[in-house]
Amino acid sequence: MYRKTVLQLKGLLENKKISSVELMKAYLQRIKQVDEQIQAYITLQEEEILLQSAQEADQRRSQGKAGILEGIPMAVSDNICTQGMKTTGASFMLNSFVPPYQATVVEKYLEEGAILVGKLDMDEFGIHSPYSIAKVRNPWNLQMTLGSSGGGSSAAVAAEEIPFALGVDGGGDLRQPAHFCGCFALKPTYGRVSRYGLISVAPSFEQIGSVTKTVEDMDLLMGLLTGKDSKDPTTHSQPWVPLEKDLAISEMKIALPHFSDLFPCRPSIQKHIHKVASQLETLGARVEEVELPMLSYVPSMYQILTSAEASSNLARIDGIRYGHRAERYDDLSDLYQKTRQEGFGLGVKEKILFGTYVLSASHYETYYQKALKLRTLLYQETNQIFQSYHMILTPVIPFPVWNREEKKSVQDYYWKDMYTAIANLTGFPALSIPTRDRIEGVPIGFQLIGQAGKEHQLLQVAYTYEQQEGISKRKEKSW
Amino acid sequence: MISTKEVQAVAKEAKIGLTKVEEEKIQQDISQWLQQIHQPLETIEIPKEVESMVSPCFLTNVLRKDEVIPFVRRDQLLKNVPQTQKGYFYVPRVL
Repeated sequence: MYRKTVLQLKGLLENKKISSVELMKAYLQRIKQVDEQIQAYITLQEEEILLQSAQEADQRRSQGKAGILEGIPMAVSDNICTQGMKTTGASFMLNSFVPPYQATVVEKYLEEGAILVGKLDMDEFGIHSPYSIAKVRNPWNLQMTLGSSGGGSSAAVAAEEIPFALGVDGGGDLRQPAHFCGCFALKPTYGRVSRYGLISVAPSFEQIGSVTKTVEDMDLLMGLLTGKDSKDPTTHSQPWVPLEKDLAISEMKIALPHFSDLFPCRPSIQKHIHKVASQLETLGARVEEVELPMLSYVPSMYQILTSAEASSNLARIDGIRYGHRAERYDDLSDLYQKTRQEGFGLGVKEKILFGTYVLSASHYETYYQKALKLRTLLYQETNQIFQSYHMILTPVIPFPVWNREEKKSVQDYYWKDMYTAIANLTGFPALSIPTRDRIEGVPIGFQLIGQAGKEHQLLQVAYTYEQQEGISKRKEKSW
Repeated sequence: MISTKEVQAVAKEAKIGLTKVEEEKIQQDISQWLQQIHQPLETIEIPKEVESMVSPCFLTNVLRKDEVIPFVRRDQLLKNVPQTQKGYFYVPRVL
């Protein structure tokens, strides 16, 4: 039962083939069976409460009051606030924080009857670094990395511990783990989805998105999330365009940025993307190589701007209003310093300090101001491509999967996010799509970046590809 | 390249205490980051008319009625506060 998609489960529940209680029991059993090794969950709701919620969902259904997701289990990453359930951002700093309010995204799904099973593991505050202490493992190969900070969401879906999950994507944090887990992950257009209740680190980069097993599930789930939220002034009310399954993709023109010597995209990845381009052409799309010169500047602007925003945003976590507070201190300044010394991990400290450095008076123009202008140029260049093409095809990560124990160099970290960060810098939507290919037994996918508000075009191409390649019907399972 | 002194100054600015080991690691890492980041920034000429892009969201002013919307009860909010006194946040004296 736990291997089904959201739409399949919805059908079974609606046709009374299964009850919500039976479904919840199946997932609880599955979590007990595999999570000791996968370690996707950081907090699990009590079993008794979950079964009670499932029973209530069955009652609502029998009274004809079922919501769209009635009785379907969900999980969210631990940087999305859940009222009454511990939300730590995977940080010691917030290890006892229980939000007194609900994130809008969680509220929307709960209103439709979904049941919150638990919170998913991630890197501290979603900051991926060599000093990460996240425990979550890749279900396809426990020794291999998940690629980025939001690993729990994809690992839980891939290991069938939950039918779908919510997470935060600030530079590829959802799309990269989905790519190594054989799942779909969407970073929607900036402003599509409310960020209210997100423990934000880089607010101009982050969007909340879903991780799913199929394109149809993504369409259903994201359609429920979007819209204006009075609690988040960055949201807009552009309506979600549903997936049209019968639409051909022969009209679609796809741009493939030329692989340049200026950046280190490994030959195996280039070969993989050219193969995907051929597959898309066989399906009727037109794929053409284009120049995107700003691509080689993406890592610089991404690191500078996200660090600057992290430095400013994490200043609120100081031991005064919530979270950890140092026990011994001399004065207020000492309280801040000791609290933040004890509470933050090394990766977070480094990010904050780098951000403070680029924002300091003597470096502001050289780094921060310049990066903001480069961001404009990247936006203009990408937008220019969209004058002639519907979307852009890229790798998700420019190198193959690596062992989780392998210490990547700063240079590797620098280039890792170059493709996924394009969408966060520009605000355009991007979708990570799995393929049938594997490296070291771990899936490999590709990314499509679309025009603002045109997620439906990405889903259209992904759906056609998924059907043709039999992605969601594959027999092979991760776990 | 960033010096250990600069790391200490930035850490003081950011109100983060560091151990000696952390200081060394951060000095090495940030130096490497700067090395990576500096070169492409140095080589590009940005036309003067290019404006800064702070966010991909183009905000417009929205006016609404000035009315009170209840948030969370005070006692619920204070539950997460590490130290309180008589229903207030407790902080060390600042004057």
